[in-house]
Amino acid sequence: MERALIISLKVLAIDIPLLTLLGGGLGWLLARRDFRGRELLSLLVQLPIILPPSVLGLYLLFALGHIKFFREAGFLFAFPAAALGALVPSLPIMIQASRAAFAGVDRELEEAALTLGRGPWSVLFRITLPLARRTLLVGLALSSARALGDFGVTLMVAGNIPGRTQTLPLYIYGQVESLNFAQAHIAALLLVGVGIASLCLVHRLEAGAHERLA
Amino acid sequence: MSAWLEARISEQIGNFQLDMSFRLGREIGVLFGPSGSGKSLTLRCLAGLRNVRSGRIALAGRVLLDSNAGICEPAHRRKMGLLFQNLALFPHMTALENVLFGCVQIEHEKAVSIAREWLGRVRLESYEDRYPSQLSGGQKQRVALARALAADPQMLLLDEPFSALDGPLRRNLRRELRSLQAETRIPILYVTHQVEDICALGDYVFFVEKGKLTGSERIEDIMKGRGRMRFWKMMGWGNLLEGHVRLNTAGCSSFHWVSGDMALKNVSGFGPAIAFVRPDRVRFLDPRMPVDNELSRNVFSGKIEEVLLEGGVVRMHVRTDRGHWQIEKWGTGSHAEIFHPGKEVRFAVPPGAVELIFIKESKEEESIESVII
Repeated sequence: MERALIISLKVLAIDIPLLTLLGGGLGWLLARRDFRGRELLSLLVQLPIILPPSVLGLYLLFALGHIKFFREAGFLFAFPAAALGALVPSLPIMIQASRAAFAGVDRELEEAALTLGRGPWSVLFRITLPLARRTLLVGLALSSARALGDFGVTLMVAGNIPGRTQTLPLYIYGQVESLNFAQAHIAALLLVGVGIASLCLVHRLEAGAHERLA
Repeated sequence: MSAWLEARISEQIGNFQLDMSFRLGREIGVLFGPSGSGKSLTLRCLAGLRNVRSGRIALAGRVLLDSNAGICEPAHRRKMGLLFQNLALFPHMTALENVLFGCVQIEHEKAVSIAREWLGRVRLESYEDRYPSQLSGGQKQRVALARALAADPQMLLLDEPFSALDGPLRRNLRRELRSLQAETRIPILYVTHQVEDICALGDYVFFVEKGKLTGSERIEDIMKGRGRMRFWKMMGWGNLLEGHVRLNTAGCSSFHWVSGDMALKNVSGFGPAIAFVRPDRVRFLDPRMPVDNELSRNVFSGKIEEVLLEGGVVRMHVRTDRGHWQIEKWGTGSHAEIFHPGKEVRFAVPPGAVELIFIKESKEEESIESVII
């Protein structure tokens, strides 16, 4: 189980920064920029939420298999595919949360900061991000929990190879298949613990956000 | 007037066309006009918060915008402070941190002392650790003003920052603003649709209507009577009445003019005066309903002559027996259906809605001594 836990943690170590940058960036783009195709992009990035994991996994499998770069880099059925498999279904959660977070920051505050002589980056780091922080963290907690718990997409693109691509959810599946319920329960309990911790964090952050507004 | 600010702005938003061209010295200019006339948009264009289709803006010898030469300084390099209507104080920063935020490119310790000095000037030194949510309306205004001035702007733009405040607080803040301007000599462009702001604050007034500058006048000239008739003409908006304020034996005051009289509220002076009533403060009365005691002396009847639907505002011209009134209602087409030309209406002017400009005319020279209710 330790190996599965380490792989899951490694997946998180790669996916959390990617969720922050990609999810935060796309959320900001959708909330703050008016461009042609914005609604289409918004629909596309939300698609992984409603598609069954098997369908998503199938398309990813074909994409990784057909794109030369990924094929030659040996992405399929290797650790990078496990990280990607966990990232794709969790990214929409982060995008949605960051879109709401940035849309919730009063534009006049940013404009006031600009007229006070602060450049756009200073405004982003001193005004926008601190004010959007709580909702961004809620999104990050929820999407990370989703990434940690991914089963279907990871199985489709990375397989279930112990020590290489077997994450905790896949480990549980493997243990149940070999009727080793005790180990499956321990791993499941671990994931339930992480889930509860994430929800508690979300709860606290949301309560804090309301307090600040009051 | 040597021009500190020279601006020529042309911008279009949907069907609305903004065409402004004016100059201002190191003094206080007031942009006056009805809601939706383009006053706030002008400030946003000046501050660089909106891209201008064509125009030229020069401030203190620096060209901030020249569409022909392809120059467009971004907002953070314009050194034009903007005080928003809702103040835009940063909710996650204390009063001191808010003011400090404007002290850019200054060593931290020096910046802190500058920020403290500005908080002191607006008499908020003991509130520096409070967050905006812990400050009263007037205190928030002062923090916003201190923050804008601490950034050392070459020009300060104010977008009706005192509109949410009540009478006495508003007057105090206006006085403070006036004295801060006299002290710092930072020119101010102030947007308002309240006539008392013009007289209490401004050196120069620009009249704006439907995105165009319809005229300008030096306040001093209006006060001395020289420009009063032009002022009447240029106002173009609102109800301006010339008459007398009288005090009765019970200590209540009323305004008398050629077409009638009406009760006033909280007026301490008397004598010749100009009364201004904003069209949106006039209230229509339902003929079937009894009239509120406070309004009973200020009820008028007339016939609607014209109804204009402009944006979200329905503008009406009502002819009474001996006068003519402008009345505005916010809303959509439903108002236009209810209030149509030819309709007989009854309306009232709340005593608190009458703004007064007292006139004190001497034989040698006409002059106006002081202002406002």
